[in-house]
Amino acid sequence: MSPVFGHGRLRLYLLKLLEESPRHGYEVIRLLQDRFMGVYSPSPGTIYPRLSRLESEGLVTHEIAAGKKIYSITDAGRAELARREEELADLEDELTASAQQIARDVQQDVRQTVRSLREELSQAARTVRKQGRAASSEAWRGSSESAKGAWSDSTDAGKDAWQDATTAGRDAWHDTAEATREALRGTARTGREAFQDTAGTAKDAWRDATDTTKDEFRRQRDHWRDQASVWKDEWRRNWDEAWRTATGARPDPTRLHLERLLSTFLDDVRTTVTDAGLTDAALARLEHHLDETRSRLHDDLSQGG
Amino acid sequence: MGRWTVDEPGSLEFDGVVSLRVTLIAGTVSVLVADGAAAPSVVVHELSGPPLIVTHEAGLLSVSHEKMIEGVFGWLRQQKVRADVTVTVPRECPVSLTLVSAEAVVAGLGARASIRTASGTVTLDGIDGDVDVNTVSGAVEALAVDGAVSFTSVSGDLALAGGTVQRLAARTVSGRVAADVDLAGPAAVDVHAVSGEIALRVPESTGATVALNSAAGSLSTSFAELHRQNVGMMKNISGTIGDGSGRLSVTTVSGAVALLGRPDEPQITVPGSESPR
Repeated sequence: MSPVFGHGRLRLYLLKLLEESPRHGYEVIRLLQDRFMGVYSPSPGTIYPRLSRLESEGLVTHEIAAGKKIYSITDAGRAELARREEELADLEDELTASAQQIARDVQQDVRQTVRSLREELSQAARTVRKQGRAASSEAWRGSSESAKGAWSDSTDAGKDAWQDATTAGRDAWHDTAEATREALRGTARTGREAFQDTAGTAKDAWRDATDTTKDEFRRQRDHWRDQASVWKDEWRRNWDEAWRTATGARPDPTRLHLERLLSTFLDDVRTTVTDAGLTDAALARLEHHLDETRSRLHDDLSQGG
Repeated sequence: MGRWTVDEPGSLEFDGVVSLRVTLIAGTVSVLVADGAAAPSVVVHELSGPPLIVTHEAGLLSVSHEKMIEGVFGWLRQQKVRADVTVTVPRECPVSLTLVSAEAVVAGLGARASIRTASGTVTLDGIDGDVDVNTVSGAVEALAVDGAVSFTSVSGDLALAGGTVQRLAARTVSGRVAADVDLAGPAAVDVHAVSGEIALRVPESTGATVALNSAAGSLSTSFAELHRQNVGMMKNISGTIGDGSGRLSVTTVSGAVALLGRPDEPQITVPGSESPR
């Protein structure tokens, strides 16, 4: 693997420090402070990400001795230093780095470090997403019914839950019927009393299951309503704040009205589609409508006034 | 107490600076720390367009373009406006930057940094204090911020690595948020995005109650203790990791969300030298 190196002077200097001798983090910090005469005093929080980035590029390695991490340069690191000998010589000739130069080096170095960390993070996220998808595809197939219910109408979700509970209730009834038969066969009490007891218990269980399901359904529906309104508020607030940030001033009422019209439009279209059912055919018709509307708006508004 | 008009590259030194305010349209402003011996200073490297006004009054050091309100638009039309400025301040000096397209670099500060920008990138290196950034499309790239981070953008990205965050509040429309940080014990992370992608990575031993929500974005996590569910229209991953002392909440409309864990660093506990981080 050959990583791409920028012109990072700061990294070059870090490598040089480690070529002189293996060091631990604090030592590197102190040496940088000396070099930059206190104008740039990197904190542990900034040094360790940099060292670990050099490590992930194979230029540096570390070992733990007596509870401390000691960093040392690798052969690949030495090769990099050799490759950029001239730059290094220039760096060492500079007796005092100007604050401007330091700032430039810092900016470039932070940019590169943070960008490669972001890459690493996206990679890791992609891996986790793939693993999650593979593992849950089986589970998805199994629970696709309930998932579809939740996605379309909350009534449907309620219906599914209701049906599940009905089945469960029926099963419970069958189970208790079995238990009743057992009881009839095995107990000392009169057959009639035993039957009434278990019948009563089954009825209670049935009533509980029904109530629980109704509550569940009600809760689901309320939660959905809350979420939808929370989501709408969030959206509106984001728009307002984004607008305030974008213009840096109080939003122009006309502009704000336009943004409100647009966001209400989006909300309404979403609701309509959700209510009507999101099929491929509907999506195609929607796209057609949007294209038409777009060209009509364009023609009308380009006239001006 | 003084006022200077700077119309060509040069430098100024000051006695006693307790807070800094810079207003710049285009160019770069770098804020570094002047250690004990050196005096706070303003160095102007390059300047085109309106002159810079530097004022130092009651400890407040201020750098801005002349006639920011009216005349500046004339300048913008006529010629390039640009100023490259480096300011060194005491470590505990709070900094406030208002920029349009100018880039900002702030390093080693031990106080609050407040930055408003339209499109300039903001680079932060080792800030031991609260950071508050408001941007439209500028990217924020930060290494090691130990404090409360507040980030608002329309499309600007936030990338945060290293450091121990006590609070991270990020609001964006389409910006991406990528954070690879430690959370201080009872830390609170709240991220809201419309379509931006969110990726957070924290140590596996982190303790927090987690709620990841999205209407249309994919949710994924490497923490097995969390469970997936659909709450009405929102997809959701929630639960508790570790001792549940902090709060980690991400909500997006369509942006993908990923919460990852990284192996804990071996504890370095030799007293007097390195401290556990």
